[in-house]
Amino acid sequence: MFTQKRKSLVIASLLTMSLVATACGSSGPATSSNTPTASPSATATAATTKAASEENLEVSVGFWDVDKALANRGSDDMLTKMEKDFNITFKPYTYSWSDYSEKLKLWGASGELPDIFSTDMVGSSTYNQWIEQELIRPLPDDLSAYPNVQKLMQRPDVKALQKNGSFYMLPRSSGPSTDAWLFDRAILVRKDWMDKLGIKEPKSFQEYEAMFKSFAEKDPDGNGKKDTVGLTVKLPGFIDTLFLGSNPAYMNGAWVNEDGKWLPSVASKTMIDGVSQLKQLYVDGALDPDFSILKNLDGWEKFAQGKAGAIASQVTPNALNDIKKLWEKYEHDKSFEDSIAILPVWTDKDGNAYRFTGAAFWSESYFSAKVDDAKMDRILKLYDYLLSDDGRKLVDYGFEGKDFKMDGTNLVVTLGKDEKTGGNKALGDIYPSTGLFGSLASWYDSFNAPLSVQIEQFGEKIVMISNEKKDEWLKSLKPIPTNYDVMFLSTPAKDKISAIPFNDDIIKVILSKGDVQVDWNKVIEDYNSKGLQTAIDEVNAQMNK
Amino acid sequence: MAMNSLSGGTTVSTRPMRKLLERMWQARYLYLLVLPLLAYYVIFQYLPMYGVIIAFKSYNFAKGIIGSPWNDFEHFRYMFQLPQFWHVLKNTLVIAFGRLIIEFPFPIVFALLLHEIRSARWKRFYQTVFTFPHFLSWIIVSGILSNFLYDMGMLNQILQYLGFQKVSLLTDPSSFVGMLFTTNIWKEMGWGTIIYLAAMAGIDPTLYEAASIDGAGRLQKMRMITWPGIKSTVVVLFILAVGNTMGGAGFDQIFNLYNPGVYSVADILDTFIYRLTFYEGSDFGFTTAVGLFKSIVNCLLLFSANLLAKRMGERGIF
Repeated sequence: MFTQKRKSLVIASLLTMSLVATACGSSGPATSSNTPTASPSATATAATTKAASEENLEVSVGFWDVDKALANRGSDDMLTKMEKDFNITFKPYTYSWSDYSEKLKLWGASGELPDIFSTDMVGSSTYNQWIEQELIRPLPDDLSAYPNVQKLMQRPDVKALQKNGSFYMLPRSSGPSTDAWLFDRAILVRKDWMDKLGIKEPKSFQEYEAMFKSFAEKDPDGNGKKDTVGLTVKLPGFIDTLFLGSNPAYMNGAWVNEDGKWLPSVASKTMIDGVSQLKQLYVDGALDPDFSILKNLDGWEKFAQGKAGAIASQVTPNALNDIKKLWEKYEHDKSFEDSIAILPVWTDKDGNAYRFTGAAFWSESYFSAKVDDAKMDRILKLYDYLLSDDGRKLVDYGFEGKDFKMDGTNLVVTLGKDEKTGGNKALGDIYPSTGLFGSLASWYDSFNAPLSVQIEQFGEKIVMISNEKKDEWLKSLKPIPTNYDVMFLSTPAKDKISAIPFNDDIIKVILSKGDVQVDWNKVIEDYNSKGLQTAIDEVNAQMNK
Repeated sequence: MAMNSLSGGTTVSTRPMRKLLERMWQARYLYLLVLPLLAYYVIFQYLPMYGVIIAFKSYNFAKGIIGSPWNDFEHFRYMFQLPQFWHVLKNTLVIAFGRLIIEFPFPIVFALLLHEIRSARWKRFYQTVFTFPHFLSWIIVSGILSNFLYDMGMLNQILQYLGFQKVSLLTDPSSFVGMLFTTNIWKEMGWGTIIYLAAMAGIDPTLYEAASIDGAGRLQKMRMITWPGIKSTVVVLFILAVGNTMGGAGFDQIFNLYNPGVYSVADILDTFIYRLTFYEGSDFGFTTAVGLFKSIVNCLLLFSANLLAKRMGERGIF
């Protein structure tokens, strides 16, 4: 009896201790096998590179939901092809849209950065710190072995990103030109409500405000209740869209030249006009009273439910298609396409109307300093392929003959219908790894996709609406004047102030009960204490050199 | 001679030690059982503490915690000259002491009331209903609350129906802190009563019987028997609550409910550190310095509350 008891006690203790030991042993997603100890060597010879390319390399990739993208090893033909062609085994380091920045900083602090990772930090203080402290490595100076990568790095909006004569990142391009951003910020409006209330297409701020107020007050849905809002936003941060009508540079973070001096857009003298307009919309009940607390898809849901007359959002065919899916969850008299219109933001005080533009990339790929030259060569070969026409075609449309066919110059998708939903099958259902390869090196550019493919993906009506507006806006709206050299210039104070969450302060001023000018002056005072003036001085000194 | 006295001294000091070891050997299996917990505390609580030294260093990712250079209290100097820091500290103290004064008594009062319910079934019913919200995380509760408190949420619909003006509790700085207290009371009151009810269950029932015979009413019994019976528990929990003042402002609740419009009243040290570290990409050393400052203030508050309790004739926790 006693021995039995003693035995169980010993076993219980040992089990508990082993549990503790296991818990201590694991440290985040990294295991010892994934971090090569070789330090970057600048003198890898062609011979060693060649030798290295013969062995299989494990490459860890930090990317949004990459665990799901790489889950089907064995049955995912695209993953098999990539791993076989480049003799690489991918190891996922996953993060989500809500925690990517936090996770990467933690990995950085604990020396566990994956070999490749994507994030948006170029020009930030973290970026400069990580370069200085050798957490990320530069691209080789000579990129001629990777022509598609080289071509990308020579673009004017990319060239300005060199630091100390080297590139420490590879931008994830969203298209060949900065015009592709056209639909990334605009106002989606209920055309049927406009017709019902007899509102003509507005141009000036006053006209827009009157329209939003009518949506909020004149019961456009005819249910006898005052339950609609005028203008809402996709997320609180989307209020920056509305600065296109006053201080457009604030929208893309460009610096403006006023009286011969470079200023960050937030310090421009037109900034107060924009903040005042937003405050006026809020106070007058034209702006959604809950705009500052919207989360996830709240904004889109509001619009789709018929509770908002207008929304500041992306209006790309992709985004419209997503809103349409939400719209179809609720009952409406008319189809989504017949109920909406896309409008630009109102004209500024000089009568100019602007459209969004920015550097033709959003976020960048970074490479851990632990990646040696041989592995870097393999990674760059992969990127070169993903940036090539063939690579792009593979990750966008799948395998020729199986997933699409060429009918003359026309590309015809042959993925077939989904039996459950009746809609078209998505490439991601067949090859989940497109979730990684489709946007690792560059984004899918629906803007420039063949018309037949766009129609296949988003439906004819949405594509027609987009294309009509595209042609019109490229002619009639001005792109935000942007000097990329100043935008990407790095100085200590400029990098520091770039981390200030300006939108938060704008929201604070909008919701405050005080005077807008007084409140905004306080905000600027606070920025000055954080180095705004120093940043201006540094940038002007650099630009005058 | 010297050798002798030395060996004599050693014999004297080893005797109790040997006794202790013997006792430990006798209870060796109990010690074995305690070992994992001890290991847990050493590995996860004590060893990582060396990391706080980065509060005094310019943290360098490549050089690590030990290799980074010392920076002559630069983080602390920067912290104390930052106007935002004092503002956030004030918010933390206002919210934390608000919780002590407003939220702390609720579970006590509720436990006293529950104790008076005669029917055991109703007692269990109320306890279950009031304890349930504790098991929902703040993420879920914040979603429910947002829907309830939105401009067109249920609360405003009811208010409008009754002819009142709409309220915006989530975005109005003047009502946000009150909303924090109310929702936290709703969520945690039932859970908080458990310890008090346990203390009440430990009161000798003959005391109540004797009091009844002496003709004491319900209120008198509550005042003269129940309250003295749980007083020491209340004091211990109060000391712990004071000791957790700076951390007890409630990161989870505030982080999930606040927005830039109410930063002026709701931004506390924890949310401030979080935003600085992960959104604004501040130096880890600086945020550690703020965290360390918070812990030291907490520690001081804990000791003072304990001292105060002892002075007032209660037992204290150490």
